[in-house]
Parts: sequence; C-alpha cells; structure tokens
Amino acid sequence: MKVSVDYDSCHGHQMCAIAAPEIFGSDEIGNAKILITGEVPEALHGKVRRAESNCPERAITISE
Amino acid sequence: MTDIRKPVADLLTDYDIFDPEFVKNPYPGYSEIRESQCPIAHTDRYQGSWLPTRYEDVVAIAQEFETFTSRQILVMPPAEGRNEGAYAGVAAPPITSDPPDHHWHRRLILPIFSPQSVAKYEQGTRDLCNALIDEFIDKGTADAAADYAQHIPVRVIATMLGVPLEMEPEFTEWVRGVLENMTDGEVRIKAFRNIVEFFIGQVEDRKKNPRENDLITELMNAEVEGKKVPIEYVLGVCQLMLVAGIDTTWSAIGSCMWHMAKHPEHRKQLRENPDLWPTAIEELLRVYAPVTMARIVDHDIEFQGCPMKAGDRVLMAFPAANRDPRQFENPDEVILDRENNRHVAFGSGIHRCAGSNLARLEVRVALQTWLARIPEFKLVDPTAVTWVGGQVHGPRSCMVKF
Repeated sequence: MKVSVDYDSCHGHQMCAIAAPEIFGSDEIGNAKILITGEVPEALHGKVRRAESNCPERAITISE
Repeated sequence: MTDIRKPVADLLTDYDIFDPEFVKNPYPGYSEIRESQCPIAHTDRYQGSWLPTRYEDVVAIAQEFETFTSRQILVMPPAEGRNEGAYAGVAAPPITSDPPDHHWHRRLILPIFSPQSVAKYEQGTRDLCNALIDEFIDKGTADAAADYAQHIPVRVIATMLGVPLEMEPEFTEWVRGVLENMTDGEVRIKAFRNIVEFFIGQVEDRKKNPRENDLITELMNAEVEGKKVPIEYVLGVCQLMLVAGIDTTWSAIGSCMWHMAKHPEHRKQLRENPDLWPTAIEELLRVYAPVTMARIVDHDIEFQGCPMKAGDRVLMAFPAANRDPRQFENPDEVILDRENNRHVAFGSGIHRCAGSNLARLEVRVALQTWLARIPEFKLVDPTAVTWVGGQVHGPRSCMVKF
C-alpha cells in the first residue's frame, strides 16, 4: 500500500493524523505531512484506510 | 425588548433560527428540511437567508468561495452602526476575508494553531480544569456549563493572547453580546466596541512596554511583503480569537458534558479504552457541532434550483450537514469508534476553523479531567437545561449531581 496527499485540497483538518499518527503529521501551518517514505507497513493499513475515510477534503489517495 | 414572535408557518419557507424550540433542539427541524423536496430552505426573517441542510450542498458552498463569499459571516445582518465610525474597518480576519488577502491573513496565524504549537497549552488546560473541579467537587452538584465549560476556553485564549485573566467576566459578557444576543443590535454594537477598545489599549500598552514571547507583539511586528501589517488586522485577529475561540468551544464542551451525563455506557467505554479518546472527540464534535457560519452570495446564481441573488445570506448549517444520513450511518447516534467520519464541525475548504486543534484539545482535556475525578454523574433535571442557538449552539445551564 502507498498513500499520497493532494496538498492543494488539504486544509489542515488533521483528521488523518488523528486516525493514523504513525503515518500522518503536521507541517508548520498544520497541513498534512506524510511521515514515511515508500510502502505503508501492513500493520497500519487499517489506520491509513481510516485516515482516507475521515478526510473532509477527500485529499488522501491510497494505491494498492 | 418584548419578544413576540410570529409562529413559524412552514420550516421550508419561514424557518426561524432564534425560535426557542429550534434553539433548544434544532436537529428535528434540520432533518425535516433535509428530507423534504426542498432541502435548501428559505426565510424572510432577519432580512432573509437560505439554509442548506444536506452535507453535499453545505460542502459544495463552502468550497465555492468566489460565489459564496465571507464578506459577512454572522447569521444576522450587521447591527445598525456597525459599519460606521473609527472601528468600521476592524473585521475578524481570516474568517471574514476573501482571497487574495485571505491567504496572508490566514498564513500568519496558522502556525500558532498547529497541533505541535497548541500542545504546550495542554498541561495548563488540565490544571485549570482541575482547579475548577476543586471548587465544586465536595458539593455533589455543579453546573457543568456555567461552573465548568464556560470558564475553560476564555482562560486558555486569554493566556494565549497575554491579556489579564481577571477580565474573564468582561470577556465572557462581550463575546455573549456579539454571538448570543444577535437580535439586539445595541448590545451587539456595544460588545463589539468594548472588544476593539480593549485591544487598542493592549496594543498601546505594548508600544510603551515592549514584551517578549507575546502573541499580540508578534502580530504588531508581522510583515507581509516588507510592510508591517495594518493595525486593523492585529485588532481583527485579536477580536476573532476572543469571539470565535471562546463561545464556540465552551458550547462544544457543554454539549459533551450534557451527553456524558446521560450516557454511562460511553463513560465506561472511554474508561476501559482510553485509546479511543481522539476518535471519540471527533464523533462528539460531529454530533454536537456548535457553529453555523454564513456566506454572502457574490452574484445571481441558481444553486440546486434555488434562485440566489447577489447579496443573499446563506447559513452554513454544519450541524445539519453532520447529521445527513446520506453521509453518515445512523447519524443521530453517537458511536464513539465510528469508522467513517468526514465531519465538518470545523467547516470545509479555505475557511476551515483555524483554531480547530486547540478546540479539540480543550474539549478532550475538559472531558478527560472531569471523568477522571467525577466518573459517575447525571443531570439533575433534564427539562431544566437551557440552551443558546443561532450562530453557536450549546447549553448555558446544565446542572448535574454526583
């Protein structure tokens, strides 16, 4: 699984970081920041799916 | 002022957001509008407004900031005299700003409210909550709204702004004057002027007595493209932090307390599974979203069959959107571990609530601290709880016993 954020759509709700704090954090202004490079560890797939389905701006894309 | 209201003839064409029954419990009314043939209602009251209630429509309007502008953002037109006099230019940036200025209006304050920045207020908020509980824990009864929720955000914001905490009663009165007494223009104007005059005094004081690590000083010294920001911006941001940062968050805390008083099973669930807190807070914010904002239509447009005219007011009923069954399963039910929750309690698009990370921290700490010390409590009399509504919805008196 890979995950990406559309930074034009992200407005810093931080719902992704609440759902999957191991994968998403905050940049200086509170917008999403991806904390890993490459593949999402399998143990975190569920959390990342939750991050995707909790983003009010639909800014997160998962590819598997 | 005598309050003799014309009864609401038909919610779809004559809703009244200040109707006492609607203020107490707006959700059945939102639902009736949302599930009707006309999910965007209209009223001629208070100089007229539109009320979208479906999630999809509210989000679409929030995203279309060029058509649905933030020239005005309150659910009522400005009080008479608001746009006259020395303070007419003081708005509440960035909430009242449109692009292109919106960008720098917002960019300057966002770092203050990032999760990593607001984390430093967690311990202070916890200490404050504990001190409030100390005052009433031996009495076996307390007003969860007036003795607890109401005191938390005002002190956190006053601390952030570096203004005297002893002025809490004045801050509270002014903010209620602006947001809760909206049908009384005189009260609104007076409250607004008090706020602006207070912050002018704070700015003057800082010119004479420079301070370090001080938010207002940093705002005064901020530059955009090599030029100092105008004083109206500084005063506007201060006003916004006070007005938007206090009433909204205490309303959310109060609603959550009211909920917890009625739901021992949720208290138990959180006690047994503390990892659930962050998700639970989002679910409570979804169900008890306190804030409705407004937009002003820029140009004549037909939106979902509604003939909106330039200058029309559109009420962004985020609380209604958050209970749309098209978006949320069992929307009226609180499911603390809800899986899919794209709630818009903090809005959507470029005006996402700048203080959202602070608000959710305050709500979480307020609930955690109370539940740790008063694990079992209930409403003294469910019918005696009082509410405010309109711009911000939440309890103002909520007696509990323990």
